[in-house]
Amino acid sequence: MNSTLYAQNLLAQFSNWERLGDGLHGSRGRANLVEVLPYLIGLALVAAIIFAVVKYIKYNDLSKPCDDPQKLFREISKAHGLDRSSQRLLRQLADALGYVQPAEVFVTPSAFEANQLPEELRDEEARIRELRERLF
Amino acid sequence: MAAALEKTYEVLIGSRNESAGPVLMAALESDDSVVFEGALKAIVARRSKAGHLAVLERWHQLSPDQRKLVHEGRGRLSGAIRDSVLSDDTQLFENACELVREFSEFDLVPTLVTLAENQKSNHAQAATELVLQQVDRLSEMVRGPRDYSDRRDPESIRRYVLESLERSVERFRSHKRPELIEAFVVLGGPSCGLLRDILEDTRHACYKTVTNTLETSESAGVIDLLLSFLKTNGTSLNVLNIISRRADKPFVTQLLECTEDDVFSKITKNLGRMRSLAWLTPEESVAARFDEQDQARCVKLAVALGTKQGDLIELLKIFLELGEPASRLAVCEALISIPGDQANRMVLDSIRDNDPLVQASATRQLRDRHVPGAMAILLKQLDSTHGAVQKSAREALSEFSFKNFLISFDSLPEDARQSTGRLVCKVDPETVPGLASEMESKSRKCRMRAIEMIEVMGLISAMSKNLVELLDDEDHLVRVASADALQFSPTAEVQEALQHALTDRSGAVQNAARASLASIEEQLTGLPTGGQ
Repeated sequence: MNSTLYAQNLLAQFSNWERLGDGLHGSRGRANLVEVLPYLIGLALVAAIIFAVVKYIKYNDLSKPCDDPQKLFREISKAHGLDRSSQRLLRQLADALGYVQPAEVFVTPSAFEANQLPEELRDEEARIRELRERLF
Repeated sequence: MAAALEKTYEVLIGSRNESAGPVLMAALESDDSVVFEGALKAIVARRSKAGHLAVLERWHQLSPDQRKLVHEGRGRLSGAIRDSVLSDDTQLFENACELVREFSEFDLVPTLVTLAENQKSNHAQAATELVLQQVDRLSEMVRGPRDYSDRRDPESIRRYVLESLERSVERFRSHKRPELIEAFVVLGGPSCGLLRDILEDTRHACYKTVTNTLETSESAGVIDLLLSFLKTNGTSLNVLNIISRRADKPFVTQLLECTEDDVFSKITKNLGRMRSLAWLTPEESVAARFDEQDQARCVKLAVALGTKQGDLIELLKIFLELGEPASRLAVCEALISIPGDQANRMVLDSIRDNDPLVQASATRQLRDRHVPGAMAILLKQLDSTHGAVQKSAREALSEFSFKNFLISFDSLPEDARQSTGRLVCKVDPETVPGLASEMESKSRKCRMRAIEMIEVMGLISAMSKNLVELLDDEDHLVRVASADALQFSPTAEVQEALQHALTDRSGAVQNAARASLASIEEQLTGLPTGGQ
């Protein structure tokens, strides 16, 4: 008596459970790449932005312990308020004189002497003299 | 230094970028002194062992001002100094040793001890010497007043260093460095258990080295240790024997200072267990080796020793004959507790001493010694020109007091009254005030006795004023006695008072006054008068 009543009830709800096993069928499990691609691109973009932000923060964070000659150069340049052009010139000078650490120029007044200047920086003599005045 | 360069160095000091180290090291190569000194200061301020080592390598080339800059990094350089001490590079080692001395780097003593024990190391001897120097300095710090500008606790450092030295003592058989044992002894102190164990165990590997150190080391720490042992109850005889054998000046000076009252009581017990002191023997030169104050201290020490009386007397004789006044006085004071003929003779000799204090001391003890002729000497001393001698003689004759005389006066025969009375008068300065007080007594008997005492003591002239006052006494017998006594004081005041007494209501008083006036007249003119 009871089982008949249950069977009737199930049949009455057929519309609710007729697609119940669709997801388990092998042919229906393949994802469509075209559908997922926008999500992947979005995800990559977010990752790139995060990476860039972290990199930027790391680049400008001078308080973290590290062993980075370039960062030290920027740290000293920042303390002296040097613009990008002056920093570039000082880097060139350090490279030309073969310093392992570019920041060495900040503690080497003799590097700025006109007669010590390498050939390729002769044209910048005036600016270099100006930088010497500023740094020493 | 220019502000801009200073700013660069500020960045380099504060930067957490390890690259600052090589930059500063490069600056350290500069010929420019401003750049060099800036780099030196920055390196010292940073916590970089490589940089600190670079500074240590150059230490011997630095000027005094530059060295001052390095001093500012005291504490941060410890790691580099430790590495340099262990380095094979002799110059670096020497530089590090100098810094160890200058910074008083006691933390490095265990490292130095290890190095000193290493017989293969070329730096072992230098390390040994440095250990001794550091331990001496630490010992001074521990014993001296605390310097609160130095945050290190000397006692904590001492315990730390002592631990490493104790381990070295245990390894003595292998390294055989007596200097390390000496360092251990200097720092150990009387409370060090291991040191006490060694001193009790003559078979201990370090026994000989330890006793030799205690016997020969002039280190202030060792001397302090020996004196601490001397102050400690139950110190072993081995140590006391060492103390008795030591005769070096620094030790003797310190030992003599222990005779000050506050310390002396602590050492007397152990001194009593010692037979002698090597430097304090009955030789004529002994007195000449010390100044006046120390001679007196020598005597004090000698008396406290458990020396045989004969030897002590011999020593005291030398100080009495050749010593300065303070030591002669000390000898005299010491003789109080020494009985016998020899001591008696020394006391009698001291009576003739040039120094009044020595004379006084000898005088004070003369009576108790029962020396023949003491009474005569004491009576002579009563007339001394020195107050101290007089006072001592009075003390020695203290039983001849006015109080005693007053009590026994009535029972004394006439001749004894006179002789004793005159002695009491000399001995007791309270005699005159005492008599004056008796003359004011309410008891007629007392007043009468006082007048009688004045007569037998020959004090009539001295007390004529008091006697004159008694001419107005309510009792006519007292007035009579007073008037009678006054005949021996022929002064104008007395005569006037006696004249007044002629009008007394008592005929006996009048008669006595008249007789006294006649007597005075006779004394003044030398002619007998007709008065009664």
